Amino acid sequence: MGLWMLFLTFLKIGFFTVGGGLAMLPLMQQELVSGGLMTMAETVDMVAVSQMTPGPFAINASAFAGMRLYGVWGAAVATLGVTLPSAVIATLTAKFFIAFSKRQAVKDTMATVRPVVMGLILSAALSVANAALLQGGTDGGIDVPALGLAMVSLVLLLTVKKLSPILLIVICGAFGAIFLQ
Amino acid sequence: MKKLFQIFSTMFFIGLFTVGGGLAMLPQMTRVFVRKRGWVTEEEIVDYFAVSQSVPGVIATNTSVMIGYKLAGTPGAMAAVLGAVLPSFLVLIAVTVFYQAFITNPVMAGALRGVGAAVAALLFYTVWGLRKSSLRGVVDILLCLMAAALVFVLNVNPVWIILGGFLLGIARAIVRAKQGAA
Repeated sequence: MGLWMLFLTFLKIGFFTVGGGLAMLPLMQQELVSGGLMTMAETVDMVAVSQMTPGPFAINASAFAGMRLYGVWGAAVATLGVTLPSAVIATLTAKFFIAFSKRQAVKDTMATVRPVVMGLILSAALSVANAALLQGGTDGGIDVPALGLAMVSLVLLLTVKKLSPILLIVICGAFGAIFLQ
Repeated sequence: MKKLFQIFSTMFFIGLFTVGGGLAMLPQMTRVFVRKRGWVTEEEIVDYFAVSQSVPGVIATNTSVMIGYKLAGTPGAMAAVLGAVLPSFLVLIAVTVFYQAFITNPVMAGALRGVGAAVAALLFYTVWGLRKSSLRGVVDILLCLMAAALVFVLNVNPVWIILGGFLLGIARAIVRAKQGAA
């Protein structure tokens, strides 16, 4: 299997992923493991690294797999492959959606969809809090220092209007690297 | 050209500091594109996330493309997606070489515990911060709680929840249009 096949494999993964992130993992594992490109254990490492590094999970996992298989060119080809369907489909969708977004019917529809998106964010917040804080301790229980840090962060976000999310992430990351290892 | 570079650089920094999936990009996106530059409204960004989740592809990439397109057409979409993807690509090239050392490094693990706490706080705050534009009234709050419960408690795939939201929205829009005509 050469770079071209690697590109096609990731193009397929990118195209058939709906829901993003971890939703693409089963398909990715299937393609990589049954294609004899990676062992199951390697894909577990791929998941760990992709979740520990910044950026979209799907892109990270693709770059990791490409890099492991064919070096920098492999990473470039896999990343391009997984991104291309998104780029094309989303550009067409944007064109279409923005053209119609001024219509009253679309406005009314989106007014109902927005609270649902808020629900998804709330669910993501609960998932992260559950995994990182409530079960993140060394004994699998509550990670008290991390929970405290999250509380302080939330208070800061609510009181300091100009606080940048990136700055908060950097400060909490540095705090963790020093005090939570 | 200046605007394209601003789109690229903003998305690059968002990509570089986003941990925890596509939705975690929302706080920084609203901060820069809505509050700082006034290029889009909160409602528009939330709408792009909704549409992005329901079409194929990587959500983070889809959302970046839609915002980039809104700001500067197809070149804007390309600048945004390049900015969003490039940090991942560069970081992963570097990390993959010595990834065994990376996943077992205690300093890294500590940093991630800290980052996890920040991301949890940021996501809760995002719902709170967007309440005025996206949660108007009791029905909206109930919809939000129902969606959250379906995904978090019952593990329903978010795609179905979004599509359900669109169907419900269309139904309500039709009812409203009929009432308006009558």
